[in-house]
Amino acid sequence: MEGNQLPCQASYMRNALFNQGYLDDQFLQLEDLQDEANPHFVEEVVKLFYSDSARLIRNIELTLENTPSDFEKLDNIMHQYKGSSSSIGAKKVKKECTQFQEYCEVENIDGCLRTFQEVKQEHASLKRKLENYFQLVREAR
Amino acid sequence: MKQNSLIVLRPVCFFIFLILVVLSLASVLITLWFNKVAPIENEVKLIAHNINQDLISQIHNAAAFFSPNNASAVNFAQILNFCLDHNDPHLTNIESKVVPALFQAFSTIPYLSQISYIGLNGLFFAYCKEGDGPFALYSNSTFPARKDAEEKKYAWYLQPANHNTGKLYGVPTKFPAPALAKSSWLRGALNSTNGYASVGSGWRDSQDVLLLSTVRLDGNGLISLGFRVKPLVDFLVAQMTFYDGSLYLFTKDWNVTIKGFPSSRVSVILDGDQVLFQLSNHDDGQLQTVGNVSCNDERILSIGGNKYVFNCSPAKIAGLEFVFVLAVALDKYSSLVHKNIRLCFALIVVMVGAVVITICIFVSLIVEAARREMSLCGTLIKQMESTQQSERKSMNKSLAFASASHDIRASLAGISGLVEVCRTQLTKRDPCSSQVLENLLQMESCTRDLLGILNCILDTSKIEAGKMQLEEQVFDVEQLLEDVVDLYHPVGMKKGVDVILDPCDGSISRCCWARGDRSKLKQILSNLLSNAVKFTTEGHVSVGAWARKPYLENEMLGSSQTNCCLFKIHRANNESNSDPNCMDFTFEVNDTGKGIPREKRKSVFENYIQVRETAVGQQGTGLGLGIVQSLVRLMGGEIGIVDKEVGERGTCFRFNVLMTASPSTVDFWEPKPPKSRVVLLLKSGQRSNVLLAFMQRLGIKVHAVKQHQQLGPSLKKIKQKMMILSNHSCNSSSSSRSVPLSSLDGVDQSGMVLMVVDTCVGHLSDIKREIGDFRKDVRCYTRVVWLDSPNFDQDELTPPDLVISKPFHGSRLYETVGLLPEFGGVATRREEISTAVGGAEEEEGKPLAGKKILVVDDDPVGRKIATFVACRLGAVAICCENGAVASQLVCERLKGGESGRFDCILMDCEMPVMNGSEATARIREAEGSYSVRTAIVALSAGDEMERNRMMEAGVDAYITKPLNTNNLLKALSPLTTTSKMPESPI
Repeated sequence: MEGNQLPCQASYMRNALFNQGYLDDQFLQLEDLQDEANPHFVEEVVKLFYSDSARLIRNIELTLENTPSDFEKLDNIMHQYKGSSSSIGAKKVKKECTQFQEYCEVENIDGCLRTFQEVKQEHASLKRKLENYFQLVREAR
Repeated sequence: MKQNSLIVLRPVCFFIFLILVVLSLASVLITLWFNKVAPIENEVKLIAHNINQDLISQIHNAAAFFSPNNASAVNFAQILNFCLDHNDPHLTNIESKVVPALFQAFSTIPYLSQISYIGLNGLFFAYCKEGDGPFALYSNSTFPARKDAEEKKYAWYLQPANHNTGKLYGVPTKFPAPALAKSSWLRGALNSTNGYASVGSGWRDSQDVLLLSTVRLDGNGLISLGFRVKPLVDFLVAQMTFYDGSLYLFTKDWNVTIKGFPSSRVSVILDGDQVLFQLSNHDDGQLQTVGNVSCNDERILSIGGNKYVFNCSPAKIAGLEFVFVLAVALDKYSSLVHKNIRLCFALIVVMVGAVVITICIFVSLIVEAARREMSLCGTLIKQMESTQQSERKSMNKSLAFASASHDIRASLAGISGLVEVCRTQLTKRDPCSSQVLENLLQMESCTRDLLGILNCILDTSKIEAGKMQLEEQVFDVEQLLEDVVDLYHPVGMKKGVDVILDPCDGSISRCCWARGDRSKLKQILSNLLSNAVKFTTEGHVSVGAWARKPYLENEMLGSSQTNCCLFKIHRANNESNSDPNCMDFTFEVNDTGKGIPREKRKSVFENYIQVRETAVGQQGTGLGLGIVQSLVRLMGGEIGIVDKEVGERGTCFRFNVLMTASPSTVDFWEPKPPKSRVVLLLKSGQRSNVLLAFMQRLGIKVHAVKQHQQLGPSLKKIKQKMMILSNHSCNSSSSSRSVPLSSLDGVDQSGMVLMVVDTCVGHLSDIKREIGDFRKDVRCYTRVVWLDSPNFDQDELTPPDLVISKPFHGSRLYETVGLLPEFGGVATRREEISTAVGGAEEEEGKPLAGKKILVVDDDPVGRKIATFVACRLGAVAICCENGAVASQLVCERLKGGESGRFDCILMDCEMPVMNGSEATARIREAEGSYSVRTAIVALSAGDEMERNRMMEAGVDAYITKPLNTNNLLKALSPLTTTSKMPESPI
């Protein structure tokens, strides 16, 4: 019974992630790439994303503390971050990133700070949800 | 004509000038010659005149030479006088004193022939030269006192004397004594004190004329020295040349002809002071005086018609008075010289004349030749002009033709388009009006035909205008052949004609590709094949091809068609010789149609000609073969009709073209040791023959079955053979007993039995039953390949059996052969059989198989995904983190050679150290020196500016992030398809 239930749960959860707009088609593409030879490809990519994004977030925090604000650098770092998140299909995070870059464009430091908080929040929630999901997937096997 | 005469005149003038030169030269030379010759002639005259005088003086000189003779006699007399000392000489005295002195004188004085001492008292002693030795003539006694009584006692004796000492020896003989006292000369000598010279005869021989010098001694005696006249005269004559003259010597009482006239009738007589010349008459011998010459005179007399100059002169020889007459022919030498000079002149004139005549003849010949050449030149020029004119006309016509055809085509296109529009509208509005629709369809087909004809004409005019050019591309000749044959196979099948692709010696399949004009080659083949199918009502049409190295070409064609004069090798392009990859592809289209009569074969390739007898009821412009020939020649080959063997129907067209080709290194179709058997059951006999030949060359045992009824018996035969074979192998190795099961895999050592069966050959159920029986009995792996026909039920197939669509040749044939275990490797290579689709999937999953892709991205996530996607598509992916590293890597690979170079680069735009656009620009710059262009695909977050920057830098494609399989393939698809066919494989 249990063997049947877990995949169902995982599937349910995955659908929920798509439905709530956390993920987009790129994630499906990644899943397509996954096969018997590389069964944990998606998970690996996501882990890589988190380790990399942690570095980028720290960089942004450091840059934000500087006065006057270096908007160009912020934009660059955020560009990278956005690229990474789009690669795994993190839809919500990408949206916040775009918001952040727009504020950078007009050099609105308050907006930047506010959206950065949003980014971090989305980042964290996605991380939590994906961790749960992969946990389930692992258990389902 | 004016020009002609001018050109003719030129050599004439030249030769007239030449003649003038020769004549003037001759006249100058002749006058010069005359000037030189005239003095010579005068000289000769003078010399001739002087000859007489010269001769006379010479004679005088010679005469003077003899004067000492007389003196020697006088001197000798004085010596002897002294010896005798005025005493009366006695016999003893004479013997002791006179004789030795006489002998000394006799032996020392030159020309002396006789010396004598004459005593007045009768004593006498003389030495005479007689023959070889001297003789002595003497009288011992004095004159007798009494004349008459004692006269008989007085006698002379002749005795030979010693040559050296003068002593007498031998027996003396009596000699009659001459009457000395009476002789005039003796008296003369006694009277003169200073010696007396006279002419007399010798003692012994009265005929011997002697010149006697007689001197009186003081005592009573005389000394007489006798010189012979003949040696003297000889001496005289020897001294000089007479120039045909005559010389006569006279004394008062004696004369001698030293050198007379040639005519014996002339006699010369001295008459006092004058010399008479007398000529004896022919008839009666009466003497007739011609003339006389007095001494010291010169006269010209005519004797016997010739004029002579006579000189008479007195001379004194050895003290004796002579008169001599010299006769020399008048003007003989000057006239001779004159005559010779005349002759020379005549010869010179003749020579000059001959030269002039020769030149004249020569000139006339040259003029004739020049005139002929002129006329030829004239006609040639005219001809050329007319040729040029007609060529120009023809060119203009062709151009007009081409443009007209072009216009017609435009209109035709319009018509066909409108017809199609009408048709579609009609079908939409009123699908029931089938009549109109049918008409429209017919109209459409008519326009299509018209278009075809028009294309033919256009091609022809293009070729005529020389505008046809080859568009070279790389293609597979074998594939092309198969395509063309497959195209005409259904057409042929409709008529019941089998269209067969004959693999021949397999040399075409050994060439992986050739570089040439594919479309034109296809046009040629299509044309020939459509003709063949059109004119063949039953039988088959086979298409064969083979490739050779060009240098074999002559030999090959020479050996295969000795009779076909049409098939000349026309090597137009020289570049083919220099190209080592150049191959000579020969194609042959052989049909069993009506054939072309031998006499029409030449004209077949001319434009607008169709062979009437065979073309009845067939449409066409007759341009096809003309175009084909032009195209073949354009490709550096030649086309002709090959003679068929007697009894064979149809026509065989053969042509060759030169193309660059690369022979494949691996030969898939090498003959292998025979293991498997193939049974062919085909409807067409020719096809099974072709297949039989092909398979046998590969070393496969083939059994061609003509009719389905024979299938059973032949299968039985095969069965028996195989039984024997397998029994044999079983006996030899016991382990092979377990083989049968594994043999199902098709890797059996003993091979397999492959049956190729045409489904329309006969009753399928019978065939299937036969095969089923065979399978039951034979342990061997058997497989049946059914050649498809519409009504064949594929569901009944037993697993290993296959269905292959017709026509059974080309790639389908190779696939079938590839089923055999010996050619097992080939089977997977050409796995396109309709039933076996499994293999294709793998290929499909990896469209980038074997490609090397460089992923440039600073984002580790993006990088990982890109790498993974590339790997999944079969490519080898290499990563780097920024543009600087990437460009460096690319440069290194470029240097390293073709094998290491990247096929594609995925380039992120925003990167630290060096961004994507800069890296792209650098890579493009580096590539420039190697003349390669790597495909670069930009990855971007998607803003317009970034994208433009990358495009400027020279990327080939553009992907908006995020990267995934779909968008990568989409971006690469134009790049991969173009690179599949290498642009320049050479």
